[in-house]
Amino acid sequence: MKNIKLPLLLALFLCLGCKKFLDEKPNSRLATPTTLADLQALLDHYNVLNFVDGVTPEASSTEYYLTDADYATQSEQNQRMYTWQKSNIYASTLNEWFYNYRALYRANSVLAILAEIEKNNSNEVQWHNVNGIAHYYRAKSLLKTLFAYAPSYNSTTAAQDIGIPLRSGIDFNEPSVRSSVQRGYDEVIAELTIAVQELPNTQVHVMRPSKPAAYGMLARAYLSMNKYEEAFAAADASLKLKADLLDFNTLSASAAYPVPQFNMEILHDSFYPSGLLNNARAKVNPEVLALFEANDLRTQVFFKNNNNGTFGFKGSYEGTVNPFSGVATDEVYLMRAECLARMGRIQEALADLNTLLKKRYKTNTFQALQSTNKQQVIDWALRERRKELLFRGLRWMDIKRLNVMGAGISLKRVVGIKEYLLLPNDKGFALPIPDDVIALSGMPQNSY
Amino acid sequence: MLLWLFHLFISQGFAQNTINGKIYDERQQPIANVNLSLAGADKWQSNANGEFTLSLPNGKVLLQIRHLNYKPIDTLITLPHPTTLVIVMQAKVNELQAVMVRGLSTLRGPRTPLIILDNFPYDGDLGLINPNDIEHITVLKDAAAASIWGARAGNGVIVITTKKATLNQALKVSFNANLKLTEKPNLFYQPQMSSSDAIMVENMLFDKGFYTSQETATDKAPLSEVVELRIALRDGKISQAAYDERIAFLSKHSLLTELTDNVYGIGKNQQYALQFSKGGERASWLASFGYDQNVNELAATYSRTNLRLEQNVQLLKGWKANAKLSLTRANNKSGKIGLDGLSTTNGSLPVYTQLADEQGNALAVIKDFRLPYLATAGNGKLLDWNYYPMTDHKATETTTGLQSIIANLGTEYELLKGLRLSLNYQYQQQDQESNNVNGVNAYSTRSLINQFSVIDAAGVLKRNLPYGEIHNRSSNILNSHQGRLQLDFDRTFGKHSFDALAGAEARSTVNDLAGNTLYGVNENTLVGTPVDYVNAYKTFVTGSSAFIPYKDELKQTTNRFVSLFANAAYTYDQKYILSLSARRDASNLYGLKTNDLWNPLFSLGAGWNISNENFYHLSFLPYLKLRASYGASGNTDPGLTALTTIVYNGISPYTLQPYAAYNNYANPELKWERVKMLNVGVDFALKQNRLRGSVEYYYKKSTDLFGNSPIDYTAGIGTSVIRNTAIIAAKGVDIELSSLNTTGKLKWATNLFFNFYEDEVLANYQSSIQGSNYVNGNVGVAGIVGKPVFAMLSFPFAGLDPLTGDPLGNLNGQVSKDYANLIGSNVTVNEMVYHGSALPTKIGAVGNSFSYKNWTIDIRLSYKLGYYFRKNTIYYGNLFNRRQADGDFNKRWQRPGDELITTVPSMAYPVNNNRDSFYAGSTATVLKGDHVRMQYVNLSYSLKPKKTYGFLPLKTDFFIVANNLGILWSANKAGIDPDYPNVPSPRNLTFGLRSNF
Repeated sequence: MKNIKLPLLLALFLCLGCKKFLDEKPNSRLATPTTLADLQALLDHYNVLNFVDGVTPEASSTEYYLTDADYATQSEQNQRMYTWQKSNIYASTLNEWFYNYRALYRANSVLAILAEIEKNNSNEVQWHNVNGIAHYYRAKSLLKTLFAYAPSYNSTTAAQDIGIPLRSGIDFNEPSVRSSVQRGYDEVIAELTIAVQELPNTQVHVMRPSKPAAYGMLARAYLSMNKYEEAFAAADASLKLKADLLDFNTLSASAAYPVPQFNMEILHDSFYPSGLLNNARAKVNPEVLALFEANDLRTQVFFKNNNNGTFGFKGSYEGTVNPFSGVATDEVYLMRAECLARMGRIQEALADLNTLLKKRYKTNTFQALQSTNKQQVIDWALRERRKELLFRGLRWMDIKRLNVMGAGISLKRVVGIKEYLLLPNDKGFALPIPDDVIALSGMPQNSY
Repeated sequence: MLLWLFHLFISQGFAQNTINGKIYDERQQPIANVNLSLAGADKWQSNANGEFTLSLPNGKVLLQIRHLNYKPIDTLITLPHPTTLVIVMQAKVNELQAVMVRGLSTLRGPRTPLIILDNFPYDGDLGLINPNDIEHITVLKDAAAASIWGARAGNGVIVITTKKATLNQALKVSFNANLKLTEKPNLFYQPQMSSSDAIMVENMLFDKGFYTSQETATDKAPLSEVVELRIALRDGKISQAAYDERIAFLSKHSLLTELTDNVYGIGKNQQYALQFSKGGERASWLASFGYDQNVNELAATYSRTNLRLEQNVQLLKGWKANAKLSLTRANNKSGKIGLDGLSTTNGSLPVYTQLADEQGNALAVIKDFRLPYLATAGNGKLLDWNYYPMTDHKATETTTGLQSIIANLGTEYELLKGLRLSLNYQYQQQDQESNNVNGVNAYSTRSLINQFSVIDAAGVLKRNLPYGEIHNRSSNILNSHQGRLQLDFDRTFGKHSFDALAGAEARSTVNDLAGNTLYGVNENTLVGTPVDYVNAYKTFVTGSSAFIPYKDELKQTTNRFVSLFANAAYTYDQKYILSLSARRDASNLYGLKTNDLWNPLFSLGAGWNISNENFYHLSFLPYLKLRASYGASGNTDPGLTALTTIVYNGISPYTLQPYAAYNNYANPELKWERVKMLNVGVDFALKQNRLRGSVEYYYKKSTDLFGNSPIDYTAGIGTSVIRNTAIIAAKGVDIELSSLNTTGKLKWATNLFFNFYEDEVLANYQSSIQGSNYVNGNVGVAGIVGKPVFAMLSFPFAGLDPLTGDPLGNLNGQVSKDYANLIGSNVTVNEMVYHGSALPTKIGAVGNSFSYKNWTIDIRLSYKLGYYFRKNTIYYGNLFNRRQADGDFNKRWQRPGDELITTVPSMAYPVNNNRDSFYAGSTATVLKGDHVRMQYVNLSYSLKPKKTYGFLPLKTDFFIVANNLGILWSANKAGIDPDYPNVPSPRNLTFGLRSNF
């Protein structure tokens, strides 16, 4: 029997050693996220946070059109999106609802883990940075979802209007519920208010949001709510930190994509995949082209001549076919100008517009705008906004907010002999949530 | 949906390394839930539409594409990837059927059986084992297998035992040589669309303005030759006569003929083996040597050398020891570019493509950009940017070398009578090194250098990526240690015999992966040139910025397993047998907490040797045994961990800091899959073994099966999660019979194997009821309650519209052409037509062997019955957008009256993808799969000299084997082999000899 003891001892040893033996992680690249470095790495994942803004709002507006031949080459879902159908506008589950909420989850999960990490003297700087970036992305994800799928912000009805689900935790089994539009915007403002406090003035790269970017995003949120004073304050705070403008005279207008990526105007970089807006097919609306004067460099920098009477857009701040949808100083200038004009500070508004336009015209050809008429300056600000922020994904939000103020903008499309019309404040301005999301979550679809 | 490709191929800029892609099967149906991973770490899945988005670091990455029902693909992709990645996966119907040892027990987890090579689990490539070293292969099927060999044995166990030397044996030498010739693949097996039809279609599209916008696209995506000719003709760049001449030529030209005649060749495999063995009183040894040399149909070469040494020693009475050493070296070299390697960034090559001119000079064909653009781009300052598939393989070569060492040490000591203690240890090291050299004339090299070239205003060329060869190297080193400590007991006391074992085993496998790339390598000195990975450069075609692909990487994976097991059998009077086994397994894969890792397995068995009973008097049936076993085992997906984990994907080229993605979302509710199995069998033998065999019945119930359950993706973690969703039951009968029909001069023996198999989904809590989710592919898991796991369902087809040739369906009892709704969410599985199982329910084989004097002929037939498959058909959307031709085009409806003789819809423009999908998923494309196949014919002659002369062989067998001889009978009359939806496995002929000295 003496001989049996040895194997028993060995077996016992094996079992005690087991725990350590089995604790080895299976892959050198795997980690359980627990440190600030892990969280920062999750927030530097540009494919999830920077490169996936949605095409739907811009694809639904009319700054572009498709020829009938090109329309015929589109998928059924793209055709339905183009003609403002109320369902089935996405061919794939990898649509922008998916991307928006994936980014939101990323921010939510980072915040949940961050709450477990103690802040101390040695990690304070990084802790605030991570906190600020996560809150920024949380706001951005919700805001772009509101722009696309919720009705316009109308202060008298916002508390009743059905908005979007405001998911905050990381429990994926928790059902999604649509909150009111008011709560949605409140949440965005609250998040950005934290972000502007937490973020540093500059980052290692514009792929990470900075304080001026967060102010710019805050101004964008307020402007979409038609809250001009608050929007002004935020835009002003942003420009006080960074106000660089790119002189278009320095660009090579003949290049395929003349505006360089990560240029000096960019506060935070993001884009949306071009989809329907791809300049191989999307033709710039002639009404937009007509707004530009001959000496305006943007006529060459922004537009690709197809040599058949049509023009494509090549002015993306990404330097690619994908349209830029991040925050840049030109947008902040235009927001400040519009708000100043609406607040009656006409000369300051004109000064902002002229500062920007001077960089867009051929050297020594720009004649400064002058006026004392408040409405005229507001109109100018809106016109310049439409020209400068072409295909930035902002036009849809602009139409919605301006129509709330009675601008009466209606949209029209013609396909073959068929006309499609979207009247001011039509319920169709809240785009349909993907059908499978509605089916799986039980949330109500937008009513039409 | 399919037009999606059309807008997507330009929807990604060059600078970013988000890749969108889509995965199709061979019928251009999207495949959902395909797992994509980077060497096992970063994981993605395709969605219901076969689409995926990858977030990848810059550089060249090895993308592993896996789906249970499709052949795995490993593809090297270079990032940034300018366009949509389109992946076509081939169904592996036969493999799936081949490896299913005992019916389905999982929907999602590993389905392959566990392979045990000489007592240890073997994870390597079976092709690395010298087939001449194998003594026998046993397949274990019942529950006891699982409890002996662990969790993975739930799918069956294949035990491979190599040849051993025995004690007291004179020197034995055997020699073996054979040559296998494989014919060229039959590329014309599927009906093909003609070149003139393809030209007709492109002309039609051109006239409709389909290509107009593509002409001005900034990405310069390629247009086919006919479209370019039309543009040139329209713009007055070529004469009508030149145009007509070229079109006339192309109408008669066939890409497949050209490939068959000038690219593909006959495959030749040579195999040699030599073995020596000898045994003395206390020691025995075996040495074997094997060498294989293969050249495949594309002139790719493979060679393998094996050396195996084995020594068994009786050290003292009751103490034995053995040592084994197995060395393998294998080398691969890439060959020519075949049909699978020919593709463009936006679809297939046109069927009329010409690869070489009459003199045999390679011609440029479309690849990434339009040919007229490439002709003028850079005004001659760039490197030639054309792609010449006929010669490109001469400039690029991939060699892979593999060396493997497996060393075993074992010892056994008899402690008491019948009680033995044994200790076995195995060490394995496998080094694999791959070297991919892209010469300066390789298209990939020229294209990358050109993309990173800039020509300034003064016309001066600057190359931001240096001129020279590009070398990609990678190495993968696997080290594994396995050990087993085991106590065996077997002893008989009177009528009682005991047979028991208990033990523990542990295994650790570490995989080290390294890869690097050198640019600007001088082909003579092999000196590389440093490049700038940090700054982005403008790319030539669109001017968007991109980083030079950074491909250097290091990675390590570690797998560890620990198991405890026990097994006991008690036999009374050699009649009644009772057995019991139990096992527990743990591994570091299943989570990062040890507590949840242990999975218990058990089995209980009983046997009854009826023929040993006193009352048994059936003299014609001298052997009869009944046996039964019952057991429980589990299955888990090693990829699922119990914690939320992230994976570091690399360094962001922007922040120059690491970035990470979620790898797994913790799902505390996830449990192991459970499998319970009952086996009842009877073994019998007639006198003199004239007929012997076994009949076995099994029933298997699997619960808590993992299933992909769709989730409201507002949650932000993807479109589906893995849940324990399904219960399935499988049952079957295996019958094996072998008979000696005649024993005289002419010997005739027959082997029969019949298998009846049925499974059924008993519950599936999360399945969708939308009908269209069940028509994808041939062998998708349907998971519909009450139906087989793999069920064939179709949209009801109501013929073609006699006026337009549009396919007709049924919607709410009405004939309808509302295709969006016909394939939409309103059509549930209940409205679909259920054909039957998509997997064979009856499989069998019959082998007959006739011997006369020294001649023997073996003929083996096999059959598969009781199932359905879906054939390929035309998708007009893919034809227009991706130049994917299908022979069904020839059968399309063209004029009223055709609806009586065909079901293939008319060509319609603009394309309606729903119309395509409806027809392709309708009853019109489903065929019965039943067939009988001639597997092989083996003719051999045995030469036995009456006298032996020292060095001459005692016995030599000469043989000729003809394999893959094709179908003898098939229920479908369309000429399609249901096992091979695309190109059938070519026939082959082997000549060989086997000598024993």
